[in-house]
Amino acid sequence: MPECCGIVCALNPLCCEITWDQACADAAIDGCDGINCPAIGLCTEAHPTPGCSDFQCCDLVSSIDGWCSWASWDELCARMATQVCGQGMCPIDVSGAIDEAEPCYQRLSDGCGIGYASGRIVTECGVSMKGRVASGGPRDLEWFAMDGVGRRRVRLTLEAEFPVELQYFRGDCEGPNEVKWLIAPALCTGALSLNFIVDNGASSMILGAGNSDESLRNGLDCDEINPDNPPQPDDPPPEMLFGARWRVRVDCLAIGDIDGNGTVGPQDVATLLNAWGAVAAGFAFDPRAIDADLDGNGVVGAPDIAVLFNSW
Amino acid sequence: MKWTANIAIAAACLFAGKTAFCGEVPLVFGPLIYDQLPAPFSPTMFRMRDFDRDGFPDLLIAGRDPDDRLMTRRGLGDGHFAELQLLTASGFIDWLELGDLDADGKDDIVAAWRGDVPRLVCYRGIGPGLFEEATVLADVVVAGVGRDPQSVALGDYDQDGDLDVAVCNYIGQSIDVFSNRGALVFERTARVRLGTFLGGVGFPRIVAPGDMDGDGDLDLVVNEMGGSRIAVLLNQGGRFVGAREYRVPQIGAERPGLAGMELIDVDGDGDLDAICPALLLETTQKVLAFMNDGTGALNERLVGDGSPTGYEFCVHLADFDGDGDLDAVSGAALPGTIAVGRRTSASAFSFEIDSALQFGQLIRHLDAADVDGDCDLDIIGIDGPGRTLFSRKNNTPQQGCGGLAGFVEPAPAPAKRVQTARLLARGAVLSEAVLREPVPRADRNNDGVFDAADVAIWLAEMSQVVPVAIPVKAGGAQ
Repeated sequence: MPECCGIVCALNPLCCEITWDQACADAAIDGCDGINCPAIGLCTEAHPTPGCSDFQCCDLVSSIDGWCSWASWDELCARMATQVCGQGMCPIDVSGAIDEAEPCYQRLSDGCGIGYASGRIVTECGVSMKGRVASGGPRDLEWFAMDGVGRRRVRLTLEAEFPVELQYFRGDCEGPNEVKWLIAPALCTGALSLNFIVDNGASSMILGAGNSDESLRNGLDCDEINPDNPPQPDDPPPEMLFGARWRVRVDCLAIGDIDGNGTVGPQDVATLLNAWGAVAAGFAFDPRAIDADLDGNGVVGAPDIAVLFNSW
Repeated sequence: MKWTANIAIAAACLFAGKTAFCGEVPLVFGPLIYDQLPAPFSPTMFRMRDFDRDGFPDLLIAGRDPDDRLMTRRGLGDGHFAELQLLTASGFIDWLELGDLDADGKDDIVAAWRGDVPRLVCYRGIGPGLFEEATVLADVVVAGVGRDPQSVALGDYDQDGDLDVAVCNYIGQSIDVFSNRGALVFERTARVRLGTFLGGVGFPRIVAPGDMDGDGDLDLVVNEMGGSRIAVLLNQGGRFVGAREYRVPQIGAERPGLAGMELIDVDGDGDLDAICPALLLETTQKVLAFMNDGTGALNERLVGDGSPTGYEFCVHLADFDGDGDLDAVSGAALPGTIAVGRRTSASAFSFEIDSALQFGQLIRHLDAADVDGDCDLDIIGIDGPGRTLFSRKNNTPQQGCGGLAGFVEPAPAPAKRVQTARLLARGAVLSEAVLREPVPRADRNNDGVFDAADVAIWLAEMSQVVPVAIPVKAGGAQ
């Protein structure tokens, strides 16, 4: 365990320079509690012991999710390893986008965390926005207001330098509210483009660091000193395991533009007919799938044809 | 004597011109009867069954025990419970349920072991009140148990005729559903994450089954301590894919913390509502009802009076006076308080607090059962840090029952100062101002603010007696 060696040898350099004797072993027992990288077990497979065999992957995943190095390397650790290990930084181009201008630690667009009315970013059709994660814990979220009258179709394009959980939230903070869908695109795979229908009434898109299993609260600290909680002299430097920037663009489409090509035409009719019938209940909604239930009644049928032709 | 009391109350009502409370008499409970549980077992909740068919409820008790145990105890009919069986565990058990998981005609214990390597386990029933040691149903690798499973709920969620298990993952912030495939083989068929939109940690603690939308299948309801929300997971043909979440109402200037939850039909309209203790920092404690409109929607939220002291931690509704409506017993922490509230109207969620007995540090769980065979409902509860199991016999005059009418409950002792938490755990009384001191002002759900939710989380995690620094008045301790 290189990390443990470092701890022990910082206390007693002879352990690394001369020999690893019983005193060093005792120091390791005292000082390395909870450090389990590397350890037995593949990083990409769940196992009941903490840590995994690839030191770098183990260390990275454990830095994000401490459970993995002190409790057990469960399926969440294994999936996180699959997602983040071996990836470099994936910088994105945010030029030309309007800056959210959220200062470090301010969390101004945290929706229900600070106030539904004032805590959401106003979205405009065809406008690109950019921002960065402003704190790791409490974690920073970006709430984008999607409120409107009637069902509308949008195309959302997202790029981020960090693992993302993107969710569509219906309702307000008092409830009832419901996360209609949550997706976690793969890291460093370019822009994600979703063509989906926004429901009538209050709703929001929420962008945060995480994946399909869990939200990330570590490894994305802001790189400025928190005036409310300044670091102590012996504190480690802020952890930035990923880049912190994101870029989002919302384009407004006609609701009948099922294929998202900018026009409502015969191809959309064909797509709708192919999706004819009841939308399967009891399955998680996938915004990456074709959404032809234009009226939102759970069935793709004749009323949807009417909606489509109205937006021709 | 019971009839004399009723006639006197009725005459008083008529004389006063009141009609709403005519026939209402205060709820009267006897002195506390308690059993000390063996150290270091710290009980967290219990379930009741009459294992030996003697007419008195017996108990299965979950708890946090460094010695890795859970226990069954036999009701003696006098309010005491004697040790019946000690079973071993590997990790703390915060919750357990009873059900015939293997369809052999005997109830089994289903529990989740918390800890670093969480497991879902079953203690198979082998005879009246006797169980085998645990069989592991699922772990980190097999079927994938989530992180820190704190409660379980049994029900035939997929409607195939056997009992399935829902598990509430406290740190994992999710609900898992394990479907029973027979022969004690379970497969995880759903995982629903909760509170993903929160900046802080949701910390779901209790999951309970019930047909919330009246469609004939079992849905799941969860309290989220960190998010101060109730989540309803509707069953869609045996599948669970999402949750609707309802926030606690604002009471005064704050949002209460939700340490517990139970499902019960509060208003007698035939559907299940959710009741919760409302932990408040700035005012006296309350109880909450999230009222079901019959579709599983809990939009209407009602507030009733709770414990006059401490921090509300649990609540249970039962008809203690036999008048057909549900009264309330609630438990609080710091000081431990058992408050009994009489429903003042079947159509309103309001209670007249008839008694508030201070006992122990943290009343974690309360239930009602006839412990002495006199056909009325008595109170059974536990004080976690005090490692105490207690009961209070119901002496309320009521129709159709043979309660010991006319028992006069002693007036609460006047507040006095004590010097150590040990005395507090024995039932001593402290003033509210002093008792609120030990609560650490830590942001436990990591949402950026300190509020009642953080205190609820702190209490839920507490299993040891809290050291309380009590200032000593000049001139010495009293």
